[in-house]
Amino acid sequence: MSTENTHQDRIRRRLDDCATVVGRPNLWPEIRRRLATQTPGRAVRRSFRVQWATGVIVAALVIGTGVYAGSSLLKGAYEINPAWQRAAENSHPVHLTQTQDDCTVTIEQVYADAELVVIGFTVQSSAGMSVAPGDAWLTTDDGTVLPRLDGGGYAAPESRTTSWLLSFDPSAMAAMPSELRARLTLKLSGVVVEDGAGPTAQPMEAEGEAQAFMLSPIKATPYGPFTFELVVPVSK
Amino acid sequence: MDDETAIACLKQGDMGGLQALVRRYQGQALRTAYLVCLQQDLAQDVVQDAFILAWERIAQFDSRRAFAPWFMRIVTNQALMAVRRQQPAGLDSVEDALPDESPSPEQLLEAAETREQVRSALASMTALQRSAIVLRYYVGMDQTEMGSVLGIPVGTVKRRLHDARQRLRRLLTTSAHSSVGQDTTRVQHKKEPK
Repeated sequence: MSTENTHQDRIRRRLDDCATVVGRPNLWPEIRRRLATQTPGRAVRRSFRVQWATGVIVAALVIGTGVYAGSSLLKGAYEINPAWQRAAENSHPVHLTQTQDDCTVTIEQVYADAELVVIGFTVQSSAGMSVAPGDAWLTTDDGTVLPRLDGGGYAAPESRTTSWLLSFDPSAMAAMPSELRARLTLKLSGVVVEDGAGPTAQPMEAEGEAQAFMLSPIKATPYGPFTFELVVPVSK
Repeated sequence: MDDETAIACLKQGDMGGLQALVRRYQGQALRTAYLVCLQQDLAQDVVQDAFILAWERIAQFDSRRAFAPWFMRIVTNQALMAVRRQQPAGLDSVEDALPDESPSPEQLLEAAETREQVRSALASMTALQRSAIVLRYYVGMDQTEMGSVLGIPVGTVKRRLHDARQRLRRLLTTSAHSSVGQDTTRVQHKKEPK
């Protein structure tokens, strides 16, 4: 080793020794929480941004307690994002169901106004809560593809049913009709919980008995696409 | 999971890849950020920001290159920005040069006996000077790489490095003298009861 390299190495060790005061904290839980709650340009409490990328997702799932029917599970999902509250109170029941392989998707409710479209659905599969929405498109009857906004899910422990909400931005439409006619194309992904941890691990911000955590598509198994034709009155 | 696999996963939107990189590089990144901003809490914020930026910008990363230099560039820039947000403008002015007959800053840094001596010297420098020292001696970049990281010409890098060396030389010299004086005082106190 040259003299210069030896000197540099000694200085590096001095600096390294000086910096040891930072210790060895684990930054991952906070980084994961921040990524999960990132909502650029949108101030949303306890919400998150769904990462829609190449057919895999990162989404938040709220785990509740007790046994719920599909509509009850949806109530929990609506609580994730305050912006969805008006959808919770004014959604229209739909009840359209499709099954592929061991996975059944039921569109339970849809809400639409000039600013927001929210689609509530349940997923039932042998994989339980490890199946979550991946890519989704909402295409109106005039061919306009509405931009996706947020998404979130709710599940009861030991239940094979999860409920999910997806929201879309209808402002891309030239004019809002009195009745929204649109096709939902939905792909699902089998995902595993980070580190194989249970629902109580690394909780995101959560209140009461519900807990939220990240689903990480370490091994994504595709389901679908599922296609639904929706006709929904538009709220004023 | 090695870096190559982690980055491939990350580019597919898989947070498992990011988690692997956080586990591997958070220590080095924290120490680098701390040496620039000299605040533990701020360093943690800086590194969290840096990993989130890496997550957002991973598509721009050339997978044929090493991850660490690319990421340490983000860390250093984030640390500099964090310090600048906290400090009023004008603190990055060039310090007066000292006569060259004094020991080199490298020799003084090597000779600094305590962690606190090194930290005090760094704390008295500007963030830009600290970043120059950290990039050169801690991250191990050459001047061309430093210019790329800091977004400045190589000539400016040389000047900043020179400024930092001079500053460090003066500070460590002062620190060493001060330390000797304190030790002498303590000895005198012990002798008083006699």
